[in-house]
Parts: sequence; C-alpha cells; structure tokens
Amino acid sequence: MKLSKLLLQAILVGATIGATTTACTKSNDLEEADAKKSIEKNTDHHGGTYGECPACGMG
Amino acid sequence: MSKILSALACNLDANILLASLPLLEAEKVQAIEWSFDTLFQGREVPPWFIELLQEFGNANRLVGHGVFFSLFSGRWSEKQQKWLDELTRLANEFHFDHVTEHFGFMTGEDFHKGAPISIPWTTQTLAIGQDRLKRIYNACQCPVGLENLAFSYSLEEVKRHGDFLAQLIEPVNGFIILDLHNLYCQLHNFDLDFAALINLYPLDRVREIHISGGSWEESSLNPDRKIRRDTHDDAVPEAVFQLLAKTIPRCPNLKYVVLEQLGNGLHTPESRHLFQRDFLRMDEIVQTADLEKDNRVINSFLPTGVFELHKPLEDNLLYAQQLELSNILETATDYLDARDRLQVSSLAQTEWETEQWAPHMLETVIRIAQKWKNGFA
Repeated sequence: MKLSKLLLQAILVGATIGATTTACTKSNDLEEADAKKSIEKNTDHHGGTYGECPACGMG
Repeated sequence: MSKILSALACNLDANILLASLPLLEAEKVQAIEWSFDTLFQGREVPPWFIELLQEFGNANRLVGHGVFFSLFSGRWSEKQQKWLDELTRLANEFHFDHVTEHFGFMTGEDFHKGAPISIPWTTQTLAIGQDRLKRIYNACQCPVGLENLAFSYSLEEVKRHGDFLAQLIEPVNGFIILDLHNLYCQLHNFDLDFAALINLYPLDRVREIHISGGSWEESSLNPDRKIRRDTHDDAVPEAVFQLLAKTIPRCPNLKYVVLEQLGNGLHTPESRHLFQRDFLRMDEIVQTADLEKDNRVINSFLPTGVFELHKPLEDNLLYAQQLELSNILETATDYLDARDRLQVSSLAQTEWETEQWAPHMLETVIRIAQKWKNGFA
C-alpha cells in the first residue's frame, strides 16, 4: 500500500530517535522530541518494548 | 472480490519499524496487524504512528490482535471490562477489519500478565470462551477471531484443539488465525505429521495465517530432544514457508497472511535484512497462491447482530485451579517439583488430566510461565 513520503519520513525520524535512546538529540524539533518521549515511555525495563508480547504461549 | 493480503505485525517498536520501513517505502506491505492492547496503560502514541494506523484502517487493511484479555480466566475481572472499553474506543478511532485474541488464560498474578496457556475443554470452559467472544464482538462490532495456541500439555490436547476452536467461534460466526509456526512447534514437539494435523483444523474458518521464527531449547529430561518454542525472535524457518505454500490453497476464506517478529530479534542490519527477505518470500508465496484462488467471499464472519448479554459467566472452581496452576508453574524449582505439587493439587484427577501431561512440555511451560510472570514490569 502506498504511504505518503511525509509519513514515511516521520516514521524514520521517530523510530531512529527511539532506537538511540541514550543519544542526545541536537534538534529542537517538537515532533522529534515527542517521538523520542513516546518510544522511551513504551520501553520496558528489560530494554524491550511493549510491542513485544508473550506471543502465543510458547514465547 | 477478496484478495489475500501480505501483512506485517507492526507495533510501536523502533526495531520493527526500522526493519519494516524499506518494505513500506516499496509499497510491499498490503496490511498491518497491530497489538492494540500493548498500549492500554495510558501510554502515549506518537502522531505518526496514529497516522500509520489510520492510513491502513481507512483502506480497510488494519487488523487488531489482542494479547492480554485472558479469554478463559474463570473469574471476570475489572481489567477485562476495561480492556473491552478500550477496544470500543479504539474501534471507533481506527477502522479494524477484524479483531483477534489468543486461546488460553494468562499465567500472571492477575491473569493479565504472564503467557497464555491452555485450559481443559469442558462445557464450562466452552461457555466462558463463547461468552467472552460475544463481549469482544459487542465491543468492536467487526469480525472476531481466535488464534491457535503453540503450547499444549499433551498429544490428545493437540488433536482436540481445532475442534475446540471451531466450537468456541461458532456463536459469533468467528474465524481462526492459523499460526503456522505454532503448528510447526506442535509437529516437532509431539512428533506429528503435517497432513494429519492440518486436517484436524476447521480450514474453512481460517481468515488469517501467521508465520514467524522461533528458537530451540534443550530438555533436561531428554538430552536428545529439542523443544521448539514460538519466541518470535528469529527468521522464518524454511519448513514454515513450505507449510504456508501447502496451507493457503486449503483455506477458502483466507484474507491475511502476517509475518510476525519481535523487535528484540531485529537489532542488527543483518537481522533486518533477513526480516525483509522473509516478507518478500512470504509475499511471493501469497501472490502465487492468490492467482489460483477463487476470489469469491464465502463468509463475512459477522454474526447476525449485537448480543444481548448480562452478567459475565464465571467458574469459581476453574478460577481457583488457574491460580493454583499459575503458582506452581511460576515457583516450581524444576519438573519434578511441579509434577509432585500437581499430584496433590486441586487439578489432580480432574478434566485437566495433569497425569497425561508430557514431561518435556511441563518442563517447557514452567520456563514460559517464569519468563513472563512479571509481564513487562
């Protein structure tokens, strides 16, 4: 399915910042800061994320 | 006309998103599956992720996959009602083409943590499962489905699973997710033949197929034996692709084939490349099969209307047994300790048939329960 370039760029920025949670961002861009905050909030104490799950009973 | 869509399990996970991005850019991803309840606890969702969900939802290509409802908990909980309320809210915000949950009950302290494991098939458990599926339908008002479980205590349970699923979904005219890696686990862990096992599933009820990778684990009880676990942390085995090619033609109502992998297995460029390669391989199999498919929609998987429901069904004995089993599994020091405690538990000599549980699977479920007992805390 086709997604807009703007959305794809936003995903890239959000996911990249989220993946480097120990790095400080130089950007003052509000969207980037929000993205970082959101990904960090969704990171559990084991370094995983809440998208991870016990799967289907054999996880 | 209905076509089979190649989909990704896509959650708010940096590694999954970065691994998926090249596929999204190449317009290869035709649908996404979102585990909506992993974000229920007041967590913020960035606007770009919401937009991603809306884009797919507006195109009727977003499916919701629940993890934490705990369908078979013997006692109804406030958390289950909140789960339904949240589902209603999300179903109004995003357009789900269907919503699914897992078979089983969660082993964690309040049944909303831990891992889903199986329950005995009785008239009471069937009634509870049907009651809960009706509530899920009322909450989302779109087709509702259940996923086959990877874990089984015994061979007999493996053989009955497809029939049990068929009876559970019947009142909601529901469907099943056939997870082929789960099936692969069963084939290996119980030395079964695919042709024999697949015939035990209601294949006309399959609307979604999952494929994923997993891992091998040693059994201390039998050093020659390896246990296959559905850990979703590695590339898809070739055998699972072969199962996919064999299974698609037998599922006339199939609409989604979903590649699942957890972010913890997607840290490196190599693992992301393998993930993308797996998706393209899956898509190739799907497209080839789709050309040969009769694309008439046979089943809408919608019931005739909203269900009139009163007090949720409960079973206090089942609830007590689930608590006791969870405690044993989460605290057992090893297989022998668990076996001895089960022999003097309220589950002994009951329809749980703990006496028939395969030792290597009891050992495995102890590991699963202890791995997930604290949820994500």
